[in-house]
Amino acid sequence: MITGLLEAQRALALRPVDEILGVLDRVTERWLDPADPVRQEAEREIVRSTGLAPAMIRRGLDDMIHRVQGLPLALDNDLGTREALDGFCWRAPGMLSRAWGPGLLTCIFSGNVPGLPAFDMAMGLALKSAVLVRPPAEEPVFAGLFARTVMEEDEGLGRCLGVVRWGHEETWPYGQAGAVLAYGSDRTIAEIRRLVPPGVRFVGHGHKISFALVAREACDTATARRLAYDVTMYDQQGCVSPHMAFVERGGDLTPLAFAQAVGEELARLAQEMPRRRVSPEEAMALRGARDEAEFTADAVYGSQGDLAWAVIHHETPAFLPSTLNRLLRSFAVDDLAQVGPVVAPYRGYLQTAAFAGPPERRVAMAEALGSLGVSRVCAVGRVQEPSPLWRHDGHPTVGSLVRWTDIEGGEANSR
Amino acid sequence: MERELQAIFAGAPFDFGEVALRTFARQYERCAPYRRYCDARGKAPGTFGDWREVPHLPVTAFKHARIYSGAGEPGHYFQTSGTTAGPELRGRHWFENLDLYRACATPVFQRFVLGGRERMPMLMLAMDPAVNPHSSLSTYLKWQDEAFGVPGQGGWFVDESGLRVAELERALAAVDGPVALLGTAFAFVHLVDSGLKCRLPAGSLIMETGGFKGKSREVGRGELYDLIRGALGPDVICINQYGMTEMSSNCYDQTQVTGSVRKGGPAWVAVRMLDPETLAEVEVGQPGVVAIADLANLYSCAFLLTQDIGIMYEDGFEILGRAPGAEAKGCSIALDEFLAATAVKKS
Repeated sequence: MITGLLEAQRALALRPVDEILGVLDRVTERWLDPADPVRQEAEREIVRSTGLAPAMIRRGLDDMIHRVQGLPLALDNDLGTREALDGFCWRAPGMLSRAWGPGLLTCIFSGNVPGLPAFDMAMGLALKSAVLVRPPAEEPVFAGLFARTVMEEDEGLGRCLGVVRWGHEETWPYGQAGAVLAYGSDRTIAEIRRLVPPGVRFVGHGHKISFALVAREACDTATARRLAYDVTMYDQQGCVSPHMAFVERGGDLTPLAFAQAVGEELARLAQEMPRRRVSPEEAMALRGARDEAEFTADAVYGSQGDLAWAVIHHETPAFLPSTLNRLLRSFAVDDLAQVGPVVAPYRGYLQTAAFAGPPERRVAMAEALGSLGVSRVCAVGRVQEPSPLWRHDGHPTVGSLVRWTDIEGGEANSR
Repeated sequence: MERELQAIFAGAPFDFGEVALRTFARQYERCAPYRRYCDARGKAPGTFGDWREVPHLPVTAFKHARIYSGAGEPGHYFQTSGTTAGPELRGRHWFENLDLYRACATPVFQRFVLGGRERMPMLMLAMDPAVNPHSSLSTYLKWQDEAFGVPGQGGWFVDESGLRVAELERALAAVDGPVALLGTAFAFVHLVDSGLKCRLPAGSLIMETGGFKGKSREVGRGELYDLIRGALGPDVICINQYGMTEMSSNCYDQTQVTGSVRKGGPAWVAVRMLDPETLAEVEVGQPGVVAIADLANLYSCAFLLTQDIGIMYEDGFEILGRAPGAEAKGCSIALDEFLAATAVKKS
């Protein structure tokens, strides 16, 4: 498989980046067409394999494909100009630079967010690299279908994509790779890192915890509805999904009333996008958290008769992750400035902070939380739509995968 | 209801559902935290006719609230054991007095563990209740010794420093007939790990209970029994007790009663397996969360929802163990994983 991919990549390396992006444009247009048979098959199969609600899959796939459409912007942003992938470009007076993709990009995806492979697969192709993909067991179909649409639009590009599942101990996918990109638990990431030879760039996205901040100026039902949407999407399994919400006192709603309002919207969304059937272990975890909360929390709002959703409210802040599967912990604070010290001990885990409030306070919060490791501040209600420009977990997404050749003293000496 | 329960413990016929509903009404009235729990579910006495609809209180409640339905102030409490993993909250089981507890403990033990025998030397792989008065296991074992033990032949072989192997070895050498070794599962692990070897007289038995809770290496029950038989002789009868501090009664393997290693309990205990999502009873043969109605829990709450997973069969039930923590599927992290990961980093 590797031989075939590397051979196809040699031809890809000769094509201009905009030509590749043109093919990807056609691919994304197809994926955004609800009538396209591959899109329909993907929706069906993802629902079947993950159990996630069909309406959620439709929205989620649109989000993922929109992110791919931002790829030219991401390339220009990380590389100065994407033309650096086609030849030497002026980077600074007296400095010509050219970027090289990894040649072969090996990707290991986790199954928590269907459609996740789209961006990285497209990015690999735009970097004129073959992409070897190990799709997750829980959602094995999307990557293959995405590769199929690329093949249908451009065979040369299609032959640069290989989708196959391999054993956890197998090393062949890594030896000839220029870069390896992996998503998973900290343990999974550590295991893969061990198999990747020295000298091969390794980018691992391990365990992350995200949370929401609600300033008093935005403590209203509209924010509550948006937060409930963030919790509902992917049944809260995304690394960007909020576990906790810190809610400031003094707004339209008390933090308690805000928690209740989130619950009401979670209940509504549970009708529109029912939670998937969870394993007995997950159900026990949900039940355990709710049972514990009945005797320790200040309020518990939850579905009756099942474990479809819950909001556990505390009047004093703490850092306590969720069981996931649509269980949000809300904490009242007098001032959002209290949140920094609460989350500080967990800096290695912090990722997305969803913020609702005035822009000037957003910058102040980002300043405080950024120093603690938070890599993304976005609007409440938009956590599942990260900008293609977001530096995933704080490091350049495209920039981490390319290698550069620089010519020093270019302009003056080259004449 | 004490007199009625005493009669039930002695074998008097009774209608489980009727007694259960009366117990519920009494505990709903007397125990405010339990009443709040029931009210939140819209379940008050007199609003339904099937005892199975009685809300089962999560055992975690014993850690956070005083679950007490006795008269006046409680006369005693037992405390759950902590784990070495951290300074977690311990639960307390409150009693008006221990008369009922004692009255239900001995007949069941005699039937399920002693197989009807009247007397047997008992060696305890547990702490003396004089040292550890709030251990329900130690108290229970003391009563069994008083009821069925042989004076002068027995003793307590665990203290703060662990299992006193040499003393146990001497005590075992001194008995000449069948003997019972009773204690915690992890004490038996320490016993087999100590290298102690002796061949117990025919008819000897062991009863072990509880998990390992970080106090010894984790061993599967089958493997533990193989190790015990390797150390104490191939014919040793091994019985597991399933109980918890929050219960007054216990369930046991039915080896000595019906020959089945699946578990059963006394007539005043009902064990059911529920779907953790809906709390509807699951079918025979399907795993579910263990729900227990123990009518002997008159002074606290008779209706308990445990954190164990079990399967009911026609001939008894099996406990699969504490529900393992749930894991998230990718770069997200769920509560249990997070707690495990941060516990590792702290230790």
